[in-house]
Amino acid sequence: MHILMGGRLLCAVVLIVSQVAACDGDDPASDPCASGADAAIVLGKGVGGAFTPYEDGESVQLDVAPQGGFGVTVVISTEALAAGGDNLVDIQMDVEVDGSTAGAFLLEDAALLCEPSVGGRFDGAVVGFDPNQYSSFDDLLDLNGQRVDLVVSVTDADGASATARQSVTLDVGS
Amino acid sequence: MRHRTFTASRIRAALGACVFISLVASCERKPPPAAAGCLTCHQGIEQAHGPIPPDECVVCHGGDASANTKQGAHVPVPMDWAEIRGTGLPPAPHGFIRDFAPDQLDRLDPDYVRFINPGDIRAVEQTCGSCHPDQVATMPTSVMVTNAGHYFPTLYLAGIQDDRLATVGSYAAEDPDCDPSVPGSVCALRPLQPPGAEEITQIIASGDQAAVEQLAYEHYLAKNCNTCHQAGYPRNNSPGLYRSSGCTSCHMVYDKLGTYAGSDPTIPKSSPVHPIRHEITAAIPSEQCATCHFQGARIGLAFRGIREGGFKEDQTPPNAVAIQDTLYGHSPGYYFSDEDSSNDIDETPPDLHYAAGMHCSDCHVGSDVHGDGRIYSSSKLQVDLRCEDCHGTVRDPIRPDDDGVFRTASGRALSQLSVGSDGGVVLTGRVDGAAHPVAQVADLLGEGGGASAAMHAAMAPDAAGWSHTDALTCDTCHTSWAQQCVGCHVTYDLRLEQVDYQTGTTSPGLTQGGRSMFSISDVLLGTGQDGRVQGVMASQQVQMTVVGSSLYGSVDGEILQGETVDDGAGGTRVLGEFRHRNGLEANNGFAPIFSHTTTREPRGCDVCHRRDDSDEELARVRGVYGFGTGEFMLDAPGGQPVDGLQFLADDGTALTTWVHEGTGPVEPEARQRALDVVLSP
Repeated sequence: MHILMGGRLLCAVVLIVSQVAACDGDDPASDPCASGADAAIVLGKGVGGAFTPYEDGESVQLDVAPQGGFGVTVVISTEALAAGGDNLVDIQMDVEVDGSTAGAFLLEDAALLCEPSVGGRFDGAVVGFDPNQYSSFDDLLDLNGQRVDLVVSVTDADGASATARQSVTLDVGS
Repeated sequence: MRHRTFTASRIRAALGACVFISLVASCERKPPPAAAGCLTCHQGIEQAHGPIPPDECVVCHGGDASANTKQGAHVPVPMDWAEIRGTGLPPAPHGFIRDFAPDQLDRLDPDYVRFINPGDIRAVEQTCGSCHPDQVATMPTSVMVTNAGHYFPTLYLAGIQDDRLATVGSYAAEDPDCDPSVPGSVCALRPLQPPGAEEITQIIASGDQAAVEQLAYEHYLAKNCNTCHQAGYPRNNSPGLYRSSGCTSCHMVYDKLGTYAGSDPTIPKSSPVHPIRHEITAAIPSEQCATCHFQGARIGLAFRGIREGGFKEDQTPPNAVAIQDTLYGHSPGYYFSDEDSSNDIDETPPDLHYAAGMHCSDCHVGSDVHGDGRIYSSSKLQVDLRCEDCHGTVRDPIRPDDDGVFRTASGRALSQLSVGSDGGVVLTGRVDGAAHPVAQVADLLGEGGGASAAMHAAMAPDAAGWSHTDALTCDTCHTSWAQQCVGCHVTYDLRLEQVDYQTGTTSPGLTQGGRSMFSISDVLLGTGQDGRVQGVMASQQVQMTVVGSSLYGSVDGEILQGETVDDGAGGTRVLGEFRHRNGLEANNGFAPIFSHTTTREPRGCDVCHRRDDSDEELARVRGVYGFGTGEFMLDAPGGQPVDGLQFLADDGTALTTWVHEGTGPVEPEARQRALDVVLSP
């Protein structure tokens, strides 16, 4: 009987604490979908809600887009950047080969979605290569096996910003 | 790697998880209320379809509504899901299939396919077909499922097949009642299965150049042209591409990000691939169609005033307005909404129907989209809607039949049309719900109709009873722009592998293609399928290079098709081979097409007729009829450069074959008549 009552008490405490915690919306630092000073982003892969952060130097697929152009399709996970609802962000997506910029693209007014208690998320961003430098099949072959840096910066409407630099190895085709 | 700290948000997350788990557990343990069933957990989910009560999920999805647990209610993930998914696709939650290729879906337990998507063609006989048997009977053989229209033209132009009839598609189809006398229809299609490793080795060892070419084209098609169409899901991984398969690829609407905005708490709102709401609809916005139709003739782009880019900097106008958005698998800036922001003109405006709030689904209904049960070799044969079906002819406005129903010339009902309160024809928009007045050309040309003198001169029947519209389709003049893409360099390299989107698995060889030049100002004219003159688009101007590999019996990097030439900068480059069907130098594709950039203001007469009698004018107008413009010269192996917009030699001899039966250059007599006209100043 005492154990049962104790269990009920614990559940009540958990519920009360969870309600109280849920009401502390005034503290944006505690909400990973609210703009904050310690903004951070992570690049990774996955579909259907799965997210696996890239590991350093991980082999990633270099996609050939339907009508030409090369890029790496990434999932961007954010923390302490305004996400969800009507929140829009700018995403600067660069790729560096041997320290030189090989592609720089700005994705404007992207809807950053909020995964409650986890953070913001943008699926399917394409970190592309400059078509003026990389357009031919020989260019594609040159990129195969190259270690490059994907450099992605996300800036929210409040001006909070974070950058991720992720070293990956390009894998063409498979 | 980021180091996470244990903050208040983590504590709340943990507590939230505790509460969530307790709620989920309650879903698992407690019997559902008698009237609730699936809704015990899926509280608030939208009623997908009016006639089906919200608690009758199993009517469409299958499963067991009387079960007390999620495991008991849901159709289980098949044991072989992971094996079928393989290793070529990105990490996904257990049971995720919304990026599967047609063959992968074919291998899955059909009950599970139905559970995930009752609209899939493998399930629709049990689901949608219960109430819509006519549509479900025809849909699996329609071109939107079979993809036949993308396969046979390439194979025909290359001389791999001799007739203009489809033999392969994305999905096996059979029409037991087929009638070979119906133009362009076939009795069956088989899925495209390019040669595998062993056969590739044999082909290369044989030295049969035609077989090498066929090998390359078949892999190219399977790996590049199979990502759309309703038999499967690929790619489904980037904004603008998210969609379902089968009936629901159109009738469940997805937004650009593929995320759910409805009320079911169990459906994630932060990640794709989910429809906006759990609702079947006929109000299908054009953006939904564009999830596939951004490719091919790019009608899903042009209709909305979007021009494709991806060309080098010298091909991009300095003041062009790029769309800074990741779309259709491309980086931001790939697509353009305007060619020149420094003027007040939109050089690539949207179709006037789109600008008025109409969508593809306002016109293309019935057998245009569902098919009529035949297996057509091309969408041009399945789609029979004509401008005249809504706007009438220069002689007669459209009228409803005795039952008050407006019909196409082929007899299909156009239920979206009705007679308005003022006696005029109106179209009720499926998406915007608005009543759109449908102008009748004959009324405009009639007394008091308000047609200008120029419109009378261009369209009204003359004293002999002849009208331009007898010889020209409406869109020949009422098109504001069309994008000609010239020169398509494709490489098939056997040193690498790539996912085949028919099977969902990797297979030998990587294909990559890219266009070199484009034009939005060049107008080409040819003969369309109804025998009238129509605008023509350069299409499939492939130059194929095949690169060998020691894996398949040749030397790594050996050029099996194509020619290595000096690149003029101290290096070399490889020129791919044009297609040489019947000894032609370059069998480039050209196809009459309605580019869906309709404009009220027509093209000027001087587009197709000479402004004066100078040689320059004659050369310019001859370019319109296919004698070449000299603007887009393509380097050819071992030969003279090929004009990418030329399909007639100087003496009128055909330089190319045309893919679609009955189409071709403008008939010589009509062409000469048009060339002879010199407009008055």
